[in-house]
Amino acid sequence: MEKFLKISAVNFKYNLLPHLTVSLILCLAAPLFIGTKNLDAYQVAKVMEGYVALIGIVLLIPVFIPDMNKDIRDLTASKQTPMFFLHVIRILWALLFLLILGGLFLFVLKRENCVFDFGEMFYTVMANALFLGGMGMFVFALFDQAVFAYMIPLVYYVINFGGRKQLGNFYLFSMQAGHFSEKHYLFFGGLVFMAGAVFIRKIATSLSFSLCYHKGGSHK
Amino acid sequence: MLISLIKKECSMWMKSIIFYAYVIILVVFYVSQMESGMLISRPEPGAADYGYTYSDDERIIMDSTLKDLVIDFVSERPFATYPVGFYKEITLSEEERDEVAACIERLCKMSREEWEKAVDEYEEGYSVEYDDFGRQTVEEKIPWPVVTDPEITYGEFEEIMEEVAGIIGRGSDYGKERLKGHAEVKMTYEQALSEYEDVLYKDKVSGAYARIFCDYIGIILGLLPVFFGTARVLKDKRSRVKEVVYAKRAGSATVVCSRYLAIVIMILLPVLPLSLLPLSKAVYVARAAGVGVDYLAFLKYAIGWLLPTVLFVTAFSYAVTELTEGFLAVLVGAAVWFAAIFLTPFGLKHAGWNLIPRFNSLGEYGLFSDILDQLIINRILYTVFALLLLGITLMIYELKRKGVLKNGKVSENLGS
Amino acid sequence: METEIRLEGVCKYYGRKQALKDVTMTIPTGMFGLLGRNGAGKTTLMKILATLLKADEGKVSVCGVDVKNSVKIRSMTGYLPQDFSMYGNMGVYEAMDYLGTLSGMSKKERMERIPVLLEKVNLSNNYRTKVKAMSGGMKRRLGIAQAILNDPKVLIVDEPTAGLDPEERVRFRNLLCEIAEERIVILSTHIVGDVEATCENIAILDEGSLKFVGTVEELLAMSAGKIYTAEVSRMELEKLKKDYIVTGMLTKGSMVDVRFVSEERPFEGAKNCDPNVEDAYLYVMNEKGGETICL
Repeated sequence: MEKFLKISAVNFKYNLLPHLTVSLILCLAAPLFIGTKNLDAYQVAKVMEGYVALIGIVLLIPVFIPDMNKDIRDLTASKQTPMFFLHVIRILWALLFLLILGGLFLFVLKRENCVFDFGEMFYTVMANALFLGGMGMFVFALFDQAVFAYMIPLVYYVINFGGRKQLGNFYLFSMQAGHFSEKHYLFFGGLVFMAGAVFIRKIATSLSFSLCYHKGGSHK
Repeated sequence: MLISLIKKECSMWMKSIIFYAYVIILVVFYVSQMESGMLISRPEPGAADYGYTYSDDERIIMDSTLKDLVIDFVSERPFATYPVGFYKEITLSEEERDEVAACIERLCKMSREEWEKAVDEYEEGYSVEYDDFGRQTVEEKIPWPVVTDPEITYGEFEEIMEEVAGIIGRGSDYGKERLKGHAEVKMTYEQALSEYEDVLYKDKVSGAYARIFCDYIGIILGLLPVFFGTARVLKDKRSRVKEVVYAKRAGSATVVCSRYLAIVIMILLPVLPLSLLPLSKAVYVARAAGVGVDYLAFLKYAIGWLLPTVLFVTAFSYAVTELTEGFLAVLVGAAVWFAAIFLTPFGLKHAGWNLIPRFNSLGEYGLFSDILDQLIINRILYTVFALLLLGITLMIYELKRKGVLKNGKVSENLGS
Repeated sequence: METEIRLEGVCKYYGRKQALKDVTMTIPTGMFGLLGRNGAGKTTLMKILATLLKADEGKVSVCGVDVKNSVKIRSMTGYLPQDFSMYGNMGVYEAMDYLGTLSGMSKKERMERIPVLLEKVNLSNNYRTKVKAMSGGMKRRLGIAQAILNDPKVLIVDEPTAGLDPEERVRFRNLLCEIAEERIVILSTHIVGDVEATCENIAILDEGSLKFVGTVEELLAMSAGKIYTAEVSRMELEKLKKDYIVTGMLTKGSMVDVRFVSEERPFEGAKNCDPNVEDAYLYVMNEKGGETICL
């Protein structure tokens, strides 16, 4: 338990805090350019799917940022507590704040006279956030390139504005047309991405091998 | 030294996964958005539809504005406003709706019950069908019933609309300066023909294709250079080469400019060959019509239209990352892109002050020449901004190099 | 044309902490060792010489050029930071070529110099080896090669031997000596052995203050007659440690051979002996608190 608290506190202070701040600003700034009053379910879906869900990217991708410095990564990996454990704790905290922020946002919308099904919309925003954030984590784990990890989910998000044609069940904005069933694909897709990411990292540390680091280059 | 460094920077990008991902995204985006259809043909007399244009007739402006207002009102959709140039939806309360309804009553001299009933009847006899090309065929059993009373002058009309705009909120679509935008009318055969001829002779065909190419590609180029700028600065941090580079003879201007220009070059590098695809279409259309093609149109448009976007976005991300040494630029860059795409007024054929000017139309040379001056000012403005940001980046780099500016606290937190 | 580095009254502050306190000295051609504990201000001083930091007070000139003229200074100096690294996916030759370009060398110059230098640092079989695949020693050798690529008048090397194995360390020292034949090489270290083996001139920094500047002989002379050896029991050793600065010991069964510093003969059985640099260094660090000794 003490270990859990310690890891959590360090993660919060040195890693999560700035990203949490950005997420908070993102939510607080919303009323400046998005209507938040008297919305119907489709309009709420637009706000949640197209805007609030982006905090998934902001909160989940940083899970691997502390390991970017190879020295720190090797050092942490050498300790008795497995990296896997650290990653899971970081993910849990990111998810917790995702839940809180998403929930609060919906709560405020309800107070502002918006009409929608709370549970459904909550699941919607979580599904989108998990999918986008999970995608970023997966790319991060695979290529060990933070900028690339932000780039891919953001580009995926952009592609969604082109319509749902090629994206099928992984279309992000289905609730704006009242389709809920896609959200299960996104939700579980997000979980698979996250599990995959942590798994890749686990293999990478145990082999001390990462796709990007040791590719090419011969020892004398 | 600068040229040689730019070459080295470019070859570094040639080894970067970000560059290849960019190329793939660019090509996929182009193919999915632009490749189908898109052939300009001569309008045939007697066709049902020649597209749309905007009218200068005051009566038409009044009637069509009222029509839009009534439709917006009865649909109970939120009203669109652009309070600070950014799109914001406004949903009115019941009292406010009543006030707007009163304004409508004054314009059409019908009671609220009367015009609401009239609209219901109209809607019953209304249907729309879309063909494969997305063109719509509208069928109306009765003509639109709610029109402005003939006694209302244009001045009175403007006053009432200002009142409506006041209720809806700042920057409403019904404000004085936006009224003309409602007066979209069907083009006649003659207008369509003249537009077609403009494309052939003034645009030399390729111009029209270049515009829509820039419209689409601009969307991508408004975002992706952010990742290049950020990645380049963070690469130095991550590889711990900052100090080695600082201690070298090369001036800060040389170092910063070589990196900056290399990114701009690498961004534009795949765009130019890609433009050969629409150019070949233009050549095909021009051959069929028997006119000459401006082969350099794409180059001109790319430099005049796309380059300022790339310059700005790259400079912006470079400056922010040089200052914070974290991923903040990626998030802010995404926000800027979001604002430029979704939150700017006037729809898809306007330059305005938008970072990503839109012209989502193949042809319409007349409309384009109307907005050309604004587009040029817009592009010059963003180029100047880009140069300013580059100057700021240079200062930051120089200060860091001299050890005056400690590599920010923000940075340690927001990144590795 | 001047061929020395002059520092006059140099001060540097980090917030309230003073990292350098009124440092005045002259560094001539040849190897110059900057000794001191970790955190004594060595890196700060070297960064000032490499124009990566600005002195808050005082004057610094390198071969007659004020360090404020950073462009000129950078073309005259080569710098190897403590933790030298390069872009991981660059090959050795490519990295040299890139850094050479940043040093303003023409393509022709680079093509001539790079193979010569890589040969000198024994990396000529590694042109294509990626930086991320290199060992610490190889990286350090690449670092030194890039630092002398533009044939600088002054070479500044921060903690060059830290983390190298003994064999690498000796090789590296010899390399530096070779390089120092016709230029100024300043190396900072907290390992006395490095200095002893290579430097003619040294300076000792302690908490930002200069404790000693001069030649190795002068340093040794200062502590001459003040170093003693004695064979004592383990019990006696504890007391000895409290009263004197112990510079070395060797355990022989229950007895210990101790080397220590004393102004005069401390007790019967203590034998005077010739000081080595380590003895002298410890003597200066501990005996002469405060003032700078310039000989």
